[in-house]
Amino acid sequence: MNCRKVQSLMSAYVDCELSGLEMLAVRRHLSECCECKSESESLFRVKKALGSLCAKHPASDLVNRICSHLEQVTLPRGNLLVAAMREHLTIFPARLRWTVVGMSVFAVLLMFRAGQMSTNQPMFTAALPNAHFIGMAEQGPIPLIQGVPAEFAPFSAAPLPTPTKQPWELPEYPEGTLGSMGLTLTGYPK
Amino acid sequence: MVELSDTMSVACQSEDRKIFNELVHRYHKQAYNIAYRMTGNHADAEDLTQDTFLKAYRFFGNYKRDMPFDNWLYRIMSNIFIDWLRRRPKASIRSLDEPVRQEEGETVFDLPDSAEGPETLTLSRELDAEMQAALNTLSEDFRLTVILSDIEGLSYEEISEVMGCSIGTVRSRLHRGRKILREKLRPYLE
Repeated sequence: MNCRKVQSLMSAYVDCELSGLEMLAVRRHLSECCECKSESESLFRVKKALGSLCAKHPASDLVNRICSHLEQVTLPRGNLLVAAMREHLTIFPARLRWTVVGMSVFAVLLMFRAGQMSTNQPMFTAALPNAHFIGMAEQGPIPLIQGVPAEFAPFSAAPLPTPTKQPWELPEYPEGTLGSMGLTLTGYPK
Repeated sequence: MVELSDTMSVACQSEDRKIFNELVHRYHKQAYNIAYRMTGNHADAEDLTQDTFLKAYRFFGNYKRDMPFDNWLYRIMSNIFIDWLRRRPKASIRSLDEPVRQEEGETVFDLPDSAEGPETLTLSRELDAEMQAALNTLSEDFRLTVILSDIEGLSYEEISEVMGCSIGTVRSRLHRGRKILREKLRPYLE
C-alpha cells in the first residue's frame, strides 16, 4: 500500500471503520512511514479534541416550549390515515397479511381461468339443429340470432336446398335475350 | 365507515402525540447540542431544535419505526439547516464571551459546570470557542459529518443514513473536514 492510498484511508483507520485486512495493511505501512504516521496522529488529535468538547445544554424551558407548539401543528390528512391504517393493520402480523393477499390473488386468477374455459365450448352444440351461424371463431362457429333467413348466413348447420341445376349447366335466360342466344353484351360468345 | 376512520384517526393522533412528547423529552438535549455545533450560537440552536421537532411531529406518520428516531431527527435537522443557509447570506459567528442582550439586561452564555481549576476552565472555554469558530468555517456537509462522527459518535453507516449519502462519501467528507480543522487548530493541537 502506498502513501497516497494510506492517506485516503487515514480517517477511516482512526475511526476503525476499515476491514480487517485494510487495518492490517495501513498499520504495517504506518510502522514503516514516519510521514503517514504523523498524519494519522494529527487526525487522531483532531478527533479527540472534538470529542472532548463539552455538551451544550439548552434552556430549561425549551422542552416545554416545543411541546406547547406541537398543539399548533396541523397534521396532513395523509398522516392521520396512515396512522389509522397502521393502528388497524398492526393487529395482523406481516406474514399473515401477505398470505391473505397471496391467496386472494390466487383465487381471482382461478375465477378468471374458469370463466375463460366456459367460453371456449363451441356455441353450436347448444344451438338448435336449424340454427345459422354468422362466422367462425377459434372456439367454433358463432351463432346467428335465431330468425334470420338462412341465405344471409354464410355458414349454416341446416342442410342447404338442393340446387335445380348442376354447376356446369348454363342458367336459363328469357327468350330473346343475348343470354338465350349464347352471347354476352359485347357480342362475343360466352 | 367515515366516522370509524375519524375516531381511529383521532385516537391514533393522541397516541402519537403522547409518544412524541416522550421522544422530545428524551432527545431534546442531544438535538440541541448538535444544533448548537451546527449554528454556533444558542439562539439559532434553539430555533433549529424547535423547528426540527415541529417538522418531525408533522411527518411523524412517515417515520419508519425500524429506523432509530435520533437518526431520522438529525436528517430533518440537517435539511432544515441547509435550507436556512440557502436563505441566509452566511451563518453568524458569535463569541461565547459576547454578552447577550435580553429584556432583563445583559447576560452571558451558560458555560458547562466543570470540576477543573480556573486555568483549565479558561483554556477549555478558549479552545471551545476556537473549535466552534473553526467548525463554522466548514461547509454544512463537512460540518455535519464531523459533528455526527466526532462529537456524537455515530458510525459511518449511521451517518450515511442520516445524510442520505454513501459510506464512501461520508469517509471523504470526514477526512477533508478534519484536515481543514487540523490546519485551523494547529497551534492548539500541538
